[in-house]
Amino acid sequence: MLFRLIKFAFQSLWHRKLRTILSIFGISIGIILITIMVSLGIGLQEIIVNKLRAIPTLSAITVTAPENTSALNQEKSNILLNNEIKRKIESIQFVKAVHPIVQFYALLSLDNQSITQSVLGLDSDQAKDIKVSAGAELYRIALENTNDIVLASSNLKNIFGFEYPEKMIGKTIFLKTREESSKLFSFRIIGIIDQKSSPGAFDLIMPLEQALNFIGSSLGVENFADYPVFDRMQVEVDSFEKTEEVAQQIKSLGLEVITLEEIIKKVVKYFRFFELGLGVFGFIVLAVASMGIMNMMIMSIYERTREIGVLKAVGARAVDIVKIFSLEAGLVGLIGGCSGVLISYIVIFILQRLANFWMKKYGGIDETIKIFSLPVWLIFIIIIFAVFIGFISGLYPAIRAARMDPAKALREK
Amino acid sequence: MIKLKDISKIYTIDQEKIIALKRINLEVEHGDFIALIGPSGSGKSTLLNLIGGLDRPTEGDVVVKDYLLTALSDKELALFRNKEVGFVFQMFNLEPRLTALENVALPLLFAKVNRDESLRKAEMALDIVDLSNRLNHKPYQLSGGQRQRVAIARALVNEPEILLADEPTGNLDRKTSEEILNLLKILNQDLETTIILVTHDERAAGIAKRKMEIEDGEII
Repeated sequence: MLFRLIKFAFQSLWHRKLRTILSIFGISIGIILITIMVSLGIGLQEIIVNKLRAIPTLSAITVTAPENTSALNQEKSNILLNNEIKRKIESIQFVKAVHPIVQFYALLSLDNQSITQSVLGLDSDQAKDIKVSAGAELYRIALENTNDIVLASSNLKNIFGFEYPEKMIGKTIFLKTREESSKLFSFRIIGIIDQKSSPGAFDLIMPLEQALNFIGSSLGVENFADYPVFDRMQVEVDSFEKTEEVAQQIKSLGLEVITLEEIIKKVVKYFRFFELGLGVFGFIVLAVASMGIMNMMIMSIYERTREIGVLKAVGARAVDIVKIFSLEAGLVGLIGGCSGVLISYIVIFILQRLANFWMKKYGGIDETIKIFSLPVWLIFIIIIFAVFIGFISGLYPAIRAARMDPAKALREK
Repeated sequence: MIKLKDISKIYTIDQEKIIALKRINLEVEHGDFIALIGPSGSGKSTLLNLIGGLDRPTEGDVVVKDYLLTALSDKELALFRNKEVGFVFQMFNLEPRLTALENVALPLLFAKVNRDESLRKAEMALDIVDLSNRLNHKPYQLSGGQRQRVAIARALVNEPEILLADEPTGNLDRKTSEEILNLLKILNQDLETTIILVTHDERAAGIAKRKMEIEDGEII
């Protein structure tokens, strides 16, 4: 019976093609907007969370000074991230190692081209985690006691006009801090950073000692390398379970502490807001589409008054009439939902390609990043949701149809 | 078989009462063929609707077979219309998007008869009205007379004992009208279907066994 009712509903939708298609169009636009936005939200969240989880140096605790200032002006802060603090943290139970990090902006020059980019200084343990896509790894050369080496990101090839990132290897790059007075220092590019192992968007990575020397000399601070101030410290803990305990103890020293789980929690929380915003927007769009379906069904019922009379005359109960009309509206939702998801899929495919093309061309990012994520469970939920919207929109008109007086309905011209 | 006792039907439109039927008493035997004639607005269609369970009287009782229609719920009335009576209308009232066969099978859908059985019964009904060669035609592909035959087949498909026809020839030319009226006569004779025919055409009324005239809601 249900199958024949569906067929009956489908036939009457087909009979009024234009109106049906317009209503389907309305609901599918709503579905397209929701699908693309939700898949963008999920995709971005996945990128960030995966990126965070992939960073080996972040699998511990990140310690910063109370006011997170850069190495160049950290003197303003009350507590300095210096060797004394480093030793204090090292003495905490369950702490395996403490890795200081400096990070600063510098003016980079190569072949008469200049740009301000971020530079990272890592100690030898952390430098081991940085892989290269070409050239030599940082820690291997650092063992040879050289003090003028850097790894460059493939991103720089576009800025300095190289055809391949590999061509930058062996070139000399000049650095100075943004202070007018500061001196110029030269460094040799020995390798290209493998983006996947990089803990963020850094264009140069160098050994910590070297970075401290550069900062000290640039600022004219004597013995800066002996009494350094760091930007961050990565604290390795014996086991994951002890992370929270150690983090609390570091906090009691008056320092700021960030653990990976906290970051992920914050990101996910942020995306909840993002998704909620999308949800509200999508709800408005679907409410409009829903009114479209309702309008179509009410129109249809006015036109089909006599048909309803005939259906009742041949024995259709009120329940049957409700079924017929709400099935029609549900079908509009189903077709709108399916076509909406299908179109979204195509749009997402194109946007994905475009985004990766742009990232490659202007951002120097060679890997394929999935910006949109449309899992199968989401597709099902969206389609079920569309059917539900259609069904709900058709319910009121259907009940109105069911309540018609058959004798009166048959008199209708 | 059909018994109307002191039936009155009063419509209220804009607080004005319009009396459609005035204390009607009527008895119809099994196998009877009655023509209800009268000018438009005389109440003959209302009377037909009351017998068919499409409408309820303001006063009085309607008994059809073993059913006291005035005591039935809406749902029970739907079941009654489905099983016990067949309607034929002036405007044919076929579903334009369905084939002749599907139109005829429609009442069986609500009777919850399965698909194969429905199609078999619908084919039989179309055979009775001599349209076996038009099963898969849509209404717009059929002539007026053929459409009315499909409508009659639809009324017959559940094998009801009573056929209620409201101006079935009102939209047909003279020759086609005669064919339809002959068909009704044959149904009455061969299947012993009780027929009540509403018409304002004296000639159409001529084929019935009994004639009843209605004027201003009263049988005269």
